[in-house]
Amino acid sequence: MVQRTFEGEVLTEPVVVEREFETVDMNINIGPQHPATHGVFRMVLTVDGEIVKDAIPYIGYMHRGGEKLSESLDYRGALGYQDRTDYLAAFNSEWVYVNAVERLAGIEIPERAEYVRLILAEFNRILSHFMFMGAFGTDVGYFGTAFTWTFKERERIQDLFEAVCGDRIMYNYFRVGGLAWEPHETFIEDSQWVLDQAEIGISDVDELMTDNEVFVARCRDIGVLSAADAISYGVTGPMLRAAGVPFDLRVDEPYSIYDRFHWEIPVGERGDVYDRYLVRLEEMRQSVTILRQALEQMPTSGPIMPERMPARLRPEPGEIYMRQENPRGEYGIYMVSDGTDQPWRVKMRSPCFHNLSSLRPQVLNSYLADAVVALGSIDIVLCEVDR
Amino acid sequence: MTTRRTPAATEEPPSNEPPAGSIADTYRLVLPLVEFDAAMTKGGDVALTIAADAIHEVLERGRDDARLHMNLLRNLTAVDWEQRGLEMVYHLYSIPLRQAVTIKAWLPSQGALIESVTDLYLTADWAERECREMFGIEFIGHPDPRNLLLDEDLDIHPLRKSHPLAPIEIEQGVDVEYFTKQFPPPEPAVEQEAAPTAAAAAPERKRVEDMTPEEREARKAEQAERVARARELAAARRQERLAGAPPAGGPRAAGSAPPPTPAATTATAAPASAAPSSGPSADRPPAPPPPELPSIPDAEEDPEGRAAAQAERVRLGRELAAARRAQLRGD
Amino acid sequence: MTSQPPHMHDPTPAIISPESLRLYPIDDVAPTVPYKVVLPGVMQAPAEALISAARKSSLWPMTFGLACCAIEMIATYMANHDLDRFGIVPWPSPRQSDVMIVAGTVTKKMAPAVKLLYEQMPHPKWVISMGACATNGGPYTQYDRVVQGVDNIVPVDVYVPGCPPRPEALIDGLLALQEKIVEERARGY
Repeated sequence: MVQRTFEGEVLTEPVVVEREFETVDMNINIGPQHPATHGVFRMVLTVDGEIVKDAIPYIGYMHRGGEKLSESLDYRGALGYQDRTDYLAAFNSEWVYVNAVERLAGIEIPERAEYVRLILAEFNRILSHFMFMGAFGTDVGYFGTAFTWTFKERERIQDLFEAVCGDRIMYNYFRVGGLAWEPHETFIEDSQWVLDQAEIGISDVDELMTDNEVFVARCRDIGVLSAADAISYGVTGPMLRAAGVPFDLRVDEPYSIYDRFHWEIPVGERGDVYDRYLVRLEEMRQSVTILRQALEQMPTSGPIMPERMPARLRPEPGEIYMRQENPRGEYGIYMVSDGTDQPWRVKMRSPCFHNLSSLRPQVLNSYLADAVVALGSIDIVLCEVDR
Repeated sequence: MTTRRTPAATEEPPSNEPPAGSIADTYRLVLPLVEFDAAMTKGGDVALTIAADAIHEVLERGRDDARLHMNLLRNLTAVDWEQRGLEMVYHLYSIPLRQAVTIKAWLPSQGALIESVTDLYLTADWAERECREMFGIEFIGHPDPRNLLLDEDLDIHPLRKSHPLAPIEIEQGVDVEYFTKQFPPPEPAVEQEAAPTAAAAAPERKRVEDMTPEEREARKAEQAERVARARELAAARRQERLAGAPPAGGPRAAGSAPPPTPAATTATAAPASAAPSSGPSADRPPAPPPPELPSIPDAEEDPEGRAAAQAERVRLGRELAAARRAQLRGD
Repeated sequence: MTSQPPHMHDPTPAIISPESLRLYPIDDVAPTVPYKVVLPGVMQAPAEALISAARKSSLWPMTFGLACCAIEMIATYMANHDLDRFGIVPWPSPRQSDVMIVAGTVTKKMAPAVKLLYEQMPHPKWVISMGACATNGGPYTQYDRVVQGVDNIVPVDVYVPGCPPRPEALIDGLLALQEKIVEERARGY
């Protein structure tokens, strides 16, 4: 065997150079502006070669005082901040807020309004998960395809929302007591059609990603979070269910009319990134199931607001912690009334805040490229983390 | 915002006892030595108010005891009740037993100290950091008490009621008010009369691409004249605002004849603007003269003076807008 | 080029009043590229006009989503609204981009980063302030950790109103920026 050294001399035997490499840990800053951080999130990773040894997340780049400003407005006026807190699931967040105010003030809402709320919120869950599929697919390696396909699906659902309430992502459609106005006449037929299309879209995403070998290799056993750790970190939603805990507030602390439908909670086994993806994919199909039943059962006529509503809401002094299952986990509104027409305290319990705090154990001792995948699988909305 | 709202210092929330067999009784069994008040919240949860120094013990036993098994700290926050102090609120949930409870503790408003529960729940790390910077509560035993959402070296507590909201730099409503005052919208009848005459004066208006070069030159000259007139008008208005020139009509005497119209007042300052500006109609009350506005100094020379002048302008604008609104409403 | 582009209508109002002067834009002769045919098949034109035409036709905005408006910005890039037809391609690095679309609230914690990103972009560069928050703070303007308008830290060329602006509004803003680039005629560079 002939080997050539750097000096150019030719040896007949291979030379094995034994040398101890001294490596130095390096700090890598990612963010606050980085395409892979899904917003203005910053983390400083200490890497040894390609292995992440430490990760320090920094948040707060989008802290803009939604709680403080909600306390400076009256109960109805602060609804718009809910849209802008979790802008991917605005209907769900609005629903929690109006539910909290209604329970605080003791207002019963009509059945038809409840159905419309549930239908729109479940559509919004599909919408939000489509966004996850697009962004996560981009993280993993489907550079254009995932985003363009899922946004094609999103546009259909957004067109339905626009027909109902006039805006594409900031709906401001729920009101304390019911809805702002009647949904348009062909709401049920349009919803059926959009639902059919969305189901095809879900299958498309499934075929595109689930069985792809590269996708599985990038996701399997990455970012593993055990069930005990996940609960201790306050992780909720699809991330917790992927870890094997069947905790879904729609079943565990039932609210609204979810007990009228038959559906199942998807649960993962390993708690890794791939399970989170599968749980979300199955959740979209379960939402379709719920929506089909709800659209059948929904009364076609009836009031959408109570007959009598006070002109100014002045709930009795008291407090409430209203929580519901958002696409990203448990979204809660802790609201304290002091008897005036403004809430004394509004606290938004955002699921992303707690889910994101579990990032560090997920990325420790993994490859740098896998850290980005683990971050993407949390499905963060930075406006909701920082509020 | 906080000044006009009185804190509910005297009125206690109506305490309704939780029913027998609720989780409050389980807590009494598990922690016989800890005293607490139990009440139902409006959401149907049981709220236990305990002493602040027992918080770690209560949360630890609640997590470890099999009858409670509170393994999820779903929310941690505080409420600022001003004179009554700060109220720490912990929302706990047991995933296997499906039961929820709210633990509360009162802290003094100044120098609030409470034991950290980061050793019990990992999520308390970020939640307590947020609570610390937002309310100024110190958590004893927190491993990493830095700011989380705010800048690292910032020592403000925004969610305290004493923390004010920021003044708005651009008052949009006030500018609209200035604009409508300068140019009151013409009455519809006047506009309908004026429109045919204007159309008769310029019967055919050619498209630009159909014009001959001479016509294009003439049109450009006409446009330049209009631009010059608009510039003069704007300059005169700016002069008027900056110098705070009093209107030529002088101060109004109460109960006297209707004051001079703005067209007459601007006639002395800017003669070019007198002709085109249409006077206000008879039933629309004339706008009051613009107040004397302070000039805004440069930010680098005098930052405090700039902020004060801006605040003063905003205040004047608000007053003017309110007065104008009241006047238009008819009182 | 002797004729005006067809979209330039004549907006001169019938009544000339100060109000109409204020409300209607003053239309000048539309910016066109003057050229001369010096030989058959050979044109002569000012370099600045050609450069500006080239600049406007391949804008690369930095993908820089801050808050809610970023979703509408992404939707504009995607299939239904397809910004590629205007030669506008998102680019994830400031070093190769021409346009910064500030899509969302700028907080005081984020403001140094925004300014740094602007300074990292090579000349010539333009800024679009997308949405109410970037323009003046929007619904969050009264919170003291929010910068009341991104024009406090970087110069803004086009403001797009809305909360959030629709994709069509953003496209309109980008077209307005293209017109502005042609009007500038590569001045100063």
